[in-house]
Amino acid sequence: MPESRPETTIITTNSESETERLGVSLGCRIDKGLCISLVGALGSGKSVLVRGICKGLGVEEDVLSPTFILYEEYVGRVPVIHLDLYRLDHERDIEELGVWDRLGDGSVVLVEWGDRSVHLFGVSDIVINLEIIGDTERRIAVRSSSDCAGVLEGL
Amino acid sequence: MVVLGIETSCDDTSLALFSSERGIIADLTANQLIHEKYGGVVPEIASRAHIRNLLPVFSRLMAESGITEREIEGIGVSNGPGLIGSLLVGVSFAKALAFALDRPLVGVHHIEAHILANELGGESLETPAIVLVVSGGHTSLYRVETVGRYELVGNTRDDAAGEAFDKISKLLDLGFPGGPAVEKAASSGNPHAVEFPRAMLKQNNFDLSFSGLKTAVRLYVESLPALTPQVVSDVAASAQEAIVDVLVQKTIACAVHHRVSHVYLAGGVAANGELRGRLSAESEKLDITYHAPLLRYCTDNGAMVACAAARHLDMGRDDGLDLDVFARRPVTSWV
Repeated sequence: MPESRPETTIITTNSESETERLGVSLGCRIDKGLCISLVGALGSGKSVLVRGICKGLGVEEDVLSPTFILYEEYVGRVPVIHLDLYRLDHERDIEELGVWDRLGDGSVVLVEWGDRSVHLFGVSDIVINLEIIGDTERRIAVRSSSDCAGVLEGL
Repeated sequence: MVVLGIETSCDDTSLALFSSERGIIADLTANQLIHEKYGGVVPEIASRAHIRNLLPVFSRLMAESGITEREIEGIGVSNGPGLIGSLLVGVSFAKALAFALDRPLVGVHHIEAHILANELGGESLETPAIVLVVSGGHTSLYRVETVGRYELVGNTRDDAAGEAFDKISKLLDLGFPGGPAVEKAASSGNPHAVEFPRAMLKQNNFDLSFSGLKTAVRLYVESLPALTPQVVSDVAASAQEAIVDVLVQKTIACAVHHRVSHVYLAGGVAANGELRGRLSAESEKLDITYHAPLLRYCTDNGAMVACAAARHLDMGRDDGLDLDVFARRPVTSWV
């Protein structure tokens, strides 16, 4: 049996719009429900990437920061759930949002500050690490589980 | 008509009794200071605190008002936008009371309530007007044709201005909520010490963006060898200047474009002294009349909900016990 191993693609973007375009192309490749965790410091471009992914998934609405209301749902080719764990410290708070019901129901769940939930992080199909390397440059590492490797092909 | 207003969309449990004839009869708010520890509103904690606070706040409000429950003629409650769990607590309470007293119940859009908070000073809203709604969760420009007719003409593309204040406050270790904390630190700082970016000013629309500012502040703070109190004040003042610059210029440009002669502020960030001062001064230069809510009615409060609900109840509206809550939606027109 072939060994199941995560695949990682590393991309450097030089501007906000490049980061957004990367998100669009990632969003276009997604054809099923999955969970994506985004990890990176304040200002590293998580929301920008999410905006792109949502566009790629066919969301027509403006995608705003959900920091305040924590949880937002959009309609794309598939339902899209946008979560922001910035304010949350406890798994219990995340559970209260009802996110667990949306994993595996065909929705794409996008989690900013995904590393703040051990559970959500653990079940993520794709983990994206964003690193600030210059004023506008970002190093973006996209790691996917083996059954989602196709999403990254040729990215 | 005597109306009870209930506001639980975020972290404040706030109730008020309002009379169409006499104005505010009584209002009372329980703040959840516990969130200071977390640097933000935690939904689980917020919902539970609303449950704990609602009945005691209601009892004290009734005692202070000197009127009886039977004298309440209608009930208004914020049913969105906001935190779903928190909204549900207020709406469930409102339904129980409406059922027990056999009174009409209306759901009030939280943003319409903020806009109408401008009437709590005793003057009717002068229209047509442009209203800048600016808070922790919202940064929008509305054209108000008349009370009940709203058009969203500009919106943030990413973060709300209040959210930018919160995040910048956290970067500078100034506490929560960020608006008042940054304003206080800024009062002893130089607003021109750092030139932070003003996003979207060159764009030919009335949309705004505050995400880039937060990033710029972060990068600047990280480039410094140490954060001395003076540097913190200077960064706070410069960041506040950038936020206020964008809000004022967009609002004024919007008012000019729409040829209105009144601009209004609404929402929690409307309490910012720099924003009030600058928008007032810039409006005056163009013969536009500037208005802002009384300071105590800028943040979330039951009085604005009661005041807005009175308008709806006057039209004979009753949402009944099927009233639902929603997390996000622009204000819809109803006349």
